[in-house]
Amino acid sequence: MEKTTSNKSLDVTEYRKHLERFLSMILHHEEVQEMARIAEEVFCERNDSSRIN
Amino acid sequence: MDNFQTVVDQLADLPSTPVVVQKLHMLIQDDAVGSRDVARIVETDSALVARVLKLVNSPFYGMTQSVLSVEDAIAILGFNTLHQLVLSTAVFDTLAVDNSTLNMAAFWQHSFGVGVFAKHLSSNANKDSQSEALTGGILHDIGRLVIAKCDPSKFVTFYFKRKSVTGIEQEMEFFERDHQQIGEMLARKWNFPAPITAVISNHHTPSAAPDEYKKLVAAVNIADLLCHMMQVGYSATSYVTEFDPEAWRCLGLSMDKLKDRIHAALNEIDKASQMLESL
Ligand SMILES: [Fe+2]
Ligand SMILES: [Fe+2]
Repeated sequence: MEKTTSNKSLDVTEYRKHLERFLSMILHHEEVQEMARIAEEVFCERNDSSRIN
Repeated sequence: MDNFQTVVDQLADLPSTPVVVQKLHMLIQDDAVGSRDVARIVETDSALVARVLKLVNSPFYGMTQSVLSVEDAIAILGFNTLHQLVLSTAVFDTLAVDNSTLNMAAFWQHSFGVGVFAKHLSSNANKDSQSEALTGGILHDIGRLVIAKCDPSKFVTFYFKRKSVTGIEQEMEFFERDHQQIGEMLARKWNFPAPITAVISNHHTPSAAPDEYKKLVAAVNIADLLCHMMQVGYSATSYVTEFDPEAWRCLGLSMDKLKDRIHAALNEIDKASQMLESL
């Protein structure tokens, strides 16, 4: 499989780049900015917990 | 321009819904039907039996004991889930293309991911609505698969060779129909349940969905956006649906709750990854 099932295996810098690219492709909305912030938090939390496990 | 005509001609040649799906569809609408009757229909297709048992015994369902009969599987999954499972399986089986046209595994991951996210975004709703959200999500982009199946070379030209945006407006220009409309044609041909058809035809235009299905379509629309944002699978294009504030409001979720739902959805997708590989 070329892409991971969920986004666990990416590095956070790469993921931030992806988020920036994503946001540049759609119209600006406060809600989407907020979702992206949450997405990044979730990403980091999942990375942390997989490191502990 | 004959681009679209090729797809339509080929669509007419696609097989009709597998017999089991048709029979199940009729049977499940009858309230008096029992798990015995449904099991008997499913058991006429041995590949399907294998698949249902594999799924119900996968870590996804967390069974402590192995489930050996279709009847037991129905008792655990319920008629509705079974019906939707059979439908999704049949659709993906019939429309499978080879990997030089489209990476099916990544496409399935996107589809399944959107289904799981949509289910979690609807988790205030009843079980049936959640099950519709899951199936609607799994089947939302089926129009793309129809194009890939019916006209692989134009599919590859449009999605992979041109360097321009691959949104629904551009699909209209190139194929004379977008993947929502092409998906809807298949949904009608194969008699999909009405809520699922509504999702397929409106997931990029949720405000155009019939009122009774607005919430369901909104869940799939936002789930699609989130899966692109979270990089769950790949749907042949990085084109992202525009955010629709009305669809978001329709879900009645706070941003705080959204975070928990995203965590839950990603955990479920992880748990299901074994199943994804084996389906
Ligand atoms: Fe789509
Ligand atoms: Fe999609």
